[in-house]
Amino acid sequence: MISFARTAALISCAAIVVSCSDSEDTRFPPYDNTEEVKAYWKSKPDFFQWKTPADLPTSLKWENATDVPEFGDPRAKKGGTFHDWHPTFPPTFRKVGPDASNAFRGEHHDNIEIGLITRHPDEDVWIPGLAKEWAVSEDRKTVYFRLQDKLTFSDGHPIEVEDFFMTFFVMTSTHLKDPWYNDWYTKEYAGITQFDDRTFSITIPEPKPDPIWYAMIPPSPRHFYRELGPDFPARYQWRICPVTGAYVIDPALMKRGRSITLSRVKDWWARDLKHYRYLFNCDFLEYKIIASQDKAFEMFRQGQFDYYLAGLPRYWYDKAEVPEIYRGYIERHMFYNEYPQVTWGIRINESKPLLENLDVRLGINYSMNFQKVIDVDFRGDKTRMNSTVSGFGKFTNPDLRARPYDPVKAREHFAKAGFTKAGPDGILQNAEGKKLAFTLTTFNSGTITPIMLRLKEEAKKAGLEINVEGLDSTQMYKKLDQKNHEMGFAGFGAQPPYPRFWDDYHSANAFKIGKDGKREIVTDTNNMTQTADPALDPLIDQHRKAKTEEEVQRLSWQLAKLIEDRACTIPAWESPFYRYMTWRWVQWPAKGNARKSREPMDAHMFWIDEDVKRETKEAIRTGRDFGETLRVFDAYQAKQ
Amino acid sequence: MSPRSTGITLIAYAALAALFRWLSLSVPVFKVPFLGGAWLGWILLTLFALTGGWLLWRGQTQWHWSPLTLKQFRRFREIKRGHASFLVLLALVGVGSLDTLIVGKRALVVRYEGKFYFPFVTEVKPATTFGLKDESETDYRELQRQFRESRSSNWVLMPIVPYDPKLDTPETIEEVVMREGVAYRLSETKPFDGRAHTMFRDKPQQKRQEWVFRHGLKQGEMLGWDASNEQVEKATFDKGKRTAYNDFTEGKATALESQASATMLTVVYPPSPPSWAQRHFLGTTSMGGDVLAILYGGWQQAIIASILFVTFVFVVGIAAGGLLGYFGGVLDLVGMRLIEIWSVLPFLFIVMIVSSIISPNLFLLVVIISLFSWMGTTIYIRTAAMKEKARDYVASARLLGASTGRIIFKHILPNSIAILVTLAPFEVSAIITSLAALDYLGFGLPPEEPSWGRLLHEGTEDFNYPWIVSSAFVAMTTVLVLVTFVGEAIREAFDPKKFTTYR
Repeated sequence: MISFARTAALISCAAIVVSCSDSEDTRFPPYDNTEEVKAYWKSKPDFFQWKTPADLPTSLKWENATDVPEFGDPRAKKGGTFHDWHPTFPPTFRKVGPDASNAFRGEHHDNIEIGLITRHPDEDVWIPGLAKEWAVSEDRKTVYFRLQDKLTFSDGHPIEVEDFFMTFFVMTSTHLKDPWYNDWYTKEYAGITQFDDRTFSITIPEPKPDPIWYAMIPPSPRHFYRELGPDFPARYQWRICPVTGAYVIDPALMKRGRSITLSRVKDWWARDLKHYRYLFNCDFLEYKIIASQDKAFEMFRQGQFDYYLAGLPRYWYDKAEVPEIYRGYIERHMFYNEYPQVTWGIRINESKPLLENLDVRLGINYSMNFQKVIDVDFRGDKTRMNSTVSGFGKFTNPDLRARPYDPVKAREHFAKAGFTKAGPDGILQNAEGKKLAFTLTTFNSGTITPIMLRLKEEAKKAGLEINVEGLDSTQMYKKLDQKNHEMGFAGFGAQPPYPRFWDDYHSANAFKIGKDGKREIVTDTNNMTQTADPALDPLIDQHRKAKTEEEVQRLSWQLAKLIEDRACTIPAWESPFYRYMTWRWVQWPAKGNARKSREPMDAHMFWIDEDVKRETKEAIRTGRDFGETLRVFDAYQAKQ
Repeated sequence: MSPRSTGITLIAYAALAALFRWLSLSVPVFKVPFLGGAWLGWILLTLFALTGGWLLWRGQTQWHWSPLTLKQFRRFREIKRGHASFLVLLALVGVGSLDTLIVGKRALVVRYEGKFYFPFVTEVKPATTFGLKDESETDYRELQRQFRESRSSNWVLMPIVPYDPKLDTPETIEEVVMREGVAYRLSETKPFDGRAHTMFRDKPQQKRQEWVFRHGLKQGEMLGWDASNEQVEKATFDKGKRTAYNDFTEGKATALESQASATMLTVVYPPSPPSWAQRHFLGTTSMGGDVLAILYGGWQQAIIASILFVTFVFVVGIAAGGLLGYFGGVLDLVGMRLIEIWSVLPFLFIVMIVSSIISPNLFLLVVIISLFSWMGTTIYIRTAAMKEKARDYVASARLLGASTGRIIFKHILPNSIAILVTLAPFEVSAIITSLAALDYLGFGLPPEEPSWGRLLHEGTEDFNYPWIVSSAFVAMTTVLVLVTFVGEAIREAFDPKKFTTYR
């Protein structure tokens, strides 16, 4: 299933690791919610239904995607340990509740769990997952699933239909302290129905172009969530949830604060199934906690880690001038992927004075020299992002172009807004003597801060002053969520399939009418530009309820254009590829990786070849030279 | 210098500083009083003028130091190492106050069409002043280059280090030349590695073609664009030979060949090593800022921080320490316990927490650090006050009917001053290291401010660029060693025992 966790940003937030005793928690008395769950199901008879196989509509067209090409590489060998690192120890192992959307979540949850049905990583089709067959009703509101025959969680408990019923109890529980999930599971679903012990259906309230994206909910093991009660966040802080995927955190191999190891599930239900048999090849995945990137790189060079994601030019170019790479012990890979881009950009808060003026916003757009940032700080490796909905394939409007750096045009727009005279420091002023100066809030980071300073330096040439405010990332997102910023630089991870406009640009997420009849700011939403445009709202609502992909596409293009015209979001950069280094014993499929992967490790297609490992170790000893290797996989590169 | 000439100098300084301020010229040295804002500046100038006037009014021709002080001066001068360090430090502070006269991106003098301009003291001049089209601030380095190229009678005089300590990260573009079929960067003797491009002759902002070079030979991808920035061609090279070529415009790409400029250019990515040609005497940081300029800016910050910090700490130390020591009793008992509690607060952590919530400026940061640093001085002064209070001369002063204020200010404090003088150098080194430590950890000054700590951090992150870390390290250790030598010498000069043997 898609993780819809809000603010699933790429940035790892500094997290305070709550210390906790190693033994099973004694603070929490036993709790059993079995009766509570049953009562909950009973209290909503329209939502939770039990029927017989005879009730299944006869017109259903069951699909199982037998003719879809298999992926992964048949050469893949099982076994071995994959060594990797992570900057911080996760603040929790829960997948919902406070701190659950931490940076480690992907390694033990998002990239591991198998959904009811999953998206083919190379093609635009669905393939079987927990369900071996599925069917969509004619009104496109209900999806029917038939589960695989032999399904178990990682702890050996069978996966049953009622585990999916349980998901609604879990996700709508206020004990989670996670309003986003509460809201999503309350509003986006209309019912779940069991037909027999392998067959069930999920119903959504409105027809969607492809209801499967919404219908594939994860199962929640009933035996695991039996103790879900008011103390959920604390009680479940370090409990390891049984998974449907191939790896589970191994408590025996965990060194708290130092390393986490995932081990392969014994007799995993999907290990021989088509599409899954060549994936998840290593026996163990070990993540050491290393706070410094540079230290991690040195450990990688020593062979303590098998893989290093080298997005920054510093690692890809400067640090790569080492004999291990010259001699081919470490290989470099560059893979062009297709995935919605992280929306790096500046959000201009339209509710702040002066910034409600379109000309000021346009002027700011023309004052941001992102091209120089790309050319110098990223050494030309990134490209300018043209709109903040980028990487959605056909849903991205190809005609949009980000406004280039142009101090002359910027000054024209500032002049229209009344800023005509330059002060003694070269910054423009208006007739009242107000300086054209705004605060740009961002997070303190060795990579981002210098870039913001470069923007500041360049913006001065257009007569605009930017005060860069670097905050701790938690503080910074809080400030943006509270809409206290003037301009904020941030990036949010986006997920397929469709761009989402409601969260970011609908007026419902900007203002509300308070008790005294005055307009109040709505906090804790993603509408960080405070866009409230009566022309946009109906289109956004239509987009949300669109029934066909053509309609979604038309509205997406139209909305992207309208948002572009408002100049409230300045898109920064995007990367059409990811690049990484691995020791040569880590083997990859012939095509490099999955087309729709976000990062190299997402698809778990790699494997470790112990023979090559021995050969390489021997070569290091004797000084044998394999020759420098740089593999570029550009089959999926978008045509320029 | 006699009291009279000191008085005249002070009055002249105040008058000139006021004049420059009134003309809104920011002249190095004379703008120093206004660093803390207009109000503070005018107050300081008035104080200077009053002090100068008072000295003149007194009309003394010579200073009247006590024989003891003179002896201490003499002994300080006799300690060669400390005295020399003191003079060097004084000189460095002098250099630090010259500011834009020696380090800065604004020209000292521009001669344009028969007129003189002094951009380093005046307000920002748009480039249109000097006949360019741009309305943004003139890039004087670029202007100098243009004047030289056009061989006109106009000229520009830049400071010795023509870069600003902050927000000045110009792009360095260098020519790539072919020597016997191998590409070299113009200033280098080792074959070129990296990307080189040609531009359109008529449109010098638009790249025509771009190649990747490895060991001086074309290797990998070549991309080509037309004048409207549409990609028109793509080729692959292996060891200098073209192995594949793709023309997206069906043969029109070759026609663009004649429109390209002949020279190949490369962007020198920061950080770049020290270079006399670029006038980056100590190289650049990874953002492209000049290391020497940043060292200079960091030194200025250190001077200001030291002055502020010593003032804060001494004022609080004297007030609190004097009170506790002189009055003693319950006040002392309670005061000392509070100080003990306050001392165990982990100072660095608190400063880090505070500065991650707000982004502090130099003044605020020094205030925050001072809040956790006044206790040491206080305890020393308290001890001194207690000791002096018990002396016979204080008792006799009291018997003669001297008031508490007179006893404190006339008798006790002057006799405790030696402690303050000896403490001062160590307070200076403490604030310099604290600031550097905070910046090193990323919780110090706003990111655009020049800082030694940040340079150190950047340098230690990556030893591929040794000029960054070595510059910062040398600068910092030099200053700290000098300050320590001075401190040692002062301590010795003020020591009542001439010969001390340590056991």
